[in-house]
Amino acid sequence: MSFFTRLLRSPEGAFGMIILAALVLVALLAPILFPGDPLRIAGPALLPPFSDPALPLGTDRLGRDVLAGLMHGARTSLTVGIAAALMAIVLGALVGTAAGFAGGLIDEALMRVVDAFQIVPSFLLALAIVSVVGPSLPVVIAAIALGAWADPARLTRAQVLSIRERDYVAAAEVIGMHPLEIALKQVLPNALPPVLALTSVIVAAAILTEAALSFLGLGDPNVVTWGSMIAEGRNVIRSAAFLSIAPGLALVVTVIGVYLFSEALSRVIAGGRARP
Amino acid sequence: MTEPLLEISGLSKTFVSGGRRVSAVESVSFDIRPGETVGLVGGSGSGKSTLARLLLRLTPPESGRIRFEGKDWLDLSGNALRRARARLQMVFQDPLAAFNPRATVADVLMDPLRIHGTVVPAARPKEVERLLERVGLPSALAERSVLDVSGGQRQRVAIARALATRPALIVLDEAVSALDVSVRRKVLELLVALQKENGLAYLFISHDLAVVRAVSHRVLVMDAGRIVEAATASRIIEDPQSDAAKALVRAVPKLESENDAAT
Amino acid sequence: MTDLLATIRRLSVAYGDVDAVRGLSFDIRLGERLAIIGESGSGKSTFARAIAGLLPPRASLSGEMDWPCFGRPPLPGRDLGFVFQDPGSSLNPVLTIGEQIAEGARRHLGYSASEAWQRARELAGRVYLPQPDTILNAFPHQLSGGQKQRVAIAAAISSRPRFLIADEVTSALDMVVQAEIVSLLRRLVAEDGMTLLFITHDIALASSFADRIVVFRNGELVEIGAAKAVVSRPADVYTAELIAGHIDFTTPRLVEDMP
Repeated sequence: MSFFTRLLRSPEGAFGMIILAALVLVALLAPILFPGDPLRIAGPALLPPFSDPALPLGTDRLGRDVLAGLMHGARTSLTVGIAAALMAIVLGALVGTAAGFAGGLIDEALMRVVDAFQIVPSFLLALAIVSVVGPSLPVVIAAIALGAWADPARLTRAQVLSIRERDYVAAAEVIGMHPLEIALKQVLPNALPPVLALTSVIVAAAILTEAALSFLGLGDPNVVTWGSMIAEGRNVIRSAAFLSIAPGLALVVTVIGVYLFSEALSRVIAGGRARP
Repeated sequence: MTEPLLEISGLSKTFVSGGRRVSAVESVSFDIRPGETVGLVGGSGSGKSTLARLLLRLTPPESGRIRFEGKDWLDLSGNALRRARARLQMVFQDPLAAFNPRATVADVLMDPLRIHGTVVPAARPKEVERLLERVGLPSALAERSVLDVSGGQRQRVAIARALATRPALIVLDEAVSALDVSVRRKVLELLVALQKENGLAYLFISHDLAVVRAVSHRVLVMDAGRIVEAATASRIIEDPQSDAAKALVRAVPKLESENDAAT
Repeated sequence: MTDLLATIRRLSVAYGDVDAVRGLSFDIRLGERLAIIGESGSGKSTFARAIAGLLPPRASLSGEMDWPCFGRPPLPGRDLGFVFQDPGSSLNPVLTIGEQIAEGARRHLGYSASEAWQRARELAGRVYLPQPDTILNAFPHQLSGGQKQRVAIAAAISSRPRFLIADEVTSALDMVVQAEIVSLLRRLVAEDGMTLLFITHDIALASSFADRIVVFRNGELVEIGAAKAVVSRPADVYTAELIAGHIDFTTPRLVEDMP
């Protein structure tokens, strides 16, 4: 059975996949269905939802189209989530691999750096970096990734240390394989699957961190994000609660989707090791 | 008398475990001549597997000398060591653990051929077929995953991998202990046939003196890191000197039929 | 019928579409040492677990098992003791040796903590664990493989079961320790009058101390009989192959001595 069919067979996997696929579709279609800047004024201010077929979810305080904002916001959330997670995993895997293979003093030094990043709450770290360097999408992504790479680094190191001791690594050494080839062909492909399973958890956390930064006004001001929409709606939360609830719901559904998907993914990876 | 292929003298290794120094191998000395099988027998914890790892340079020794094919084996490093490894190979106990779980049988055999340039690249698939044939496996097995072949077949693949680089000596570390009885006999026969064909020497490591007796020209008994007895199998079985050898002789279960006196 | 411990009729166990054992019918006699012999994939371990009620939930079991001597299926831990192949994973790493041996006596014999500890001390002596007082307070990782298996045996018999199942208990051990464990089992079974089901791949080991031998192949029974009779006159080709495959000091050698 292929990886994907196994993933889809579990209810979590199927549900998570549906949510994520819908989200990706929305993000891809946003510029086609709602061309132009989603931050421009599209109609009268504070138009309630379902009252104008041209603006199905109404408008905010400045007369911006809420549906367009939600759809373009999905782009930002997914971009930040995926980019930050990829950065964190790549950085973590590299550092973890280096520490696991080098051992000794290099291992000690690298792991103390990992400790340092692990004890600083990742949100505070992101907050500090963005407020010092300035809010733009690449900075936000880097700031979130720096708060998230410590876990993958630790897991990669532990995996490398355990797989290095296997007989097949000794066997590769005995046939005269170069240490670099042993690392890349024998150890890493078997060490990384559980680390990759961390990706989706990091994606979900990154999406939430980005939303929180935007909520505090530290997101990129030139793109629309769910966090900034919630912050914007907060000013009129008594009269137009919908403006905060809609992006909030989008956020909740996205994070649930990512978590369900990651749950199914780790189960498939864990199951794939014990052969039927 | 021929020049020894392998000469080990005063080889020692201690491990530090929980603050205590545990001597795993203690001033071990012995020779192996070309084309002979030296059996190394001992219980678990006797140090025989550590000795194998020292010999294969998987663990650095603390002191001692190893001469292999006239060269100082412990002085080799880097590329020179990797090239020299072609002549000294190993077969592990657990055939499943000794292969990358992602590999096919062909991958396993291609690696040594590529690393040592044993044959030109174009001839490699043919050589894989030839290696499989030599260990009594069908060439169709090449494309199978190492996880999809039986235990006995897997150990034959491991032997083929060790043969690929045309070694002079193969260390067999409990190489038949995990195999079913019906398969074990055939693998032992294969090893002896390969030895006669190629003049291979073996260091045959096992905890089973009966199996060691069947395939070894000479036998070393190891206990608590030391070689406590070195003789032919017949001598050790008829007249064991050390306590370790006596225990090993006693431990071999005998098939008891109706002709035997009841115990 | 009281001389029977169990009667097994048409017992089959399947995992999904794959039959692990098929149509087994034989009796286990009270007080006998019965060896089940088979190679990997013969279903011998599945059978042991089926008998002990230790099959995983996904296994489906059919056929009949009657227990004339208990009058009901035996309770694992109380009526039967089970010793597994790998003592490294069958012992709990965070409990002391004493706690693990005492567990059965506390749970099934209603012993108090101090009585159970006393029982653990006595058992540690019976399985020849050195320095019982030190070892009862030690943890499994501090013991050698052979010592761990002695602990596992002590724990299995701590509730005084009438039936002991030993599933490949010596395959992870070296020959010398194997011989010690087998002679220990032989003595314990004789002293306590237990029935022993001894699962092994080694027909010589089985012949050296079982009363009767059952040979399994691919999930089916190929032969059953008195141990020495089976070894002397195997009725099945496969049993003959197993006997021929055995290597001891009388087996013809493949190479000669070369001093």
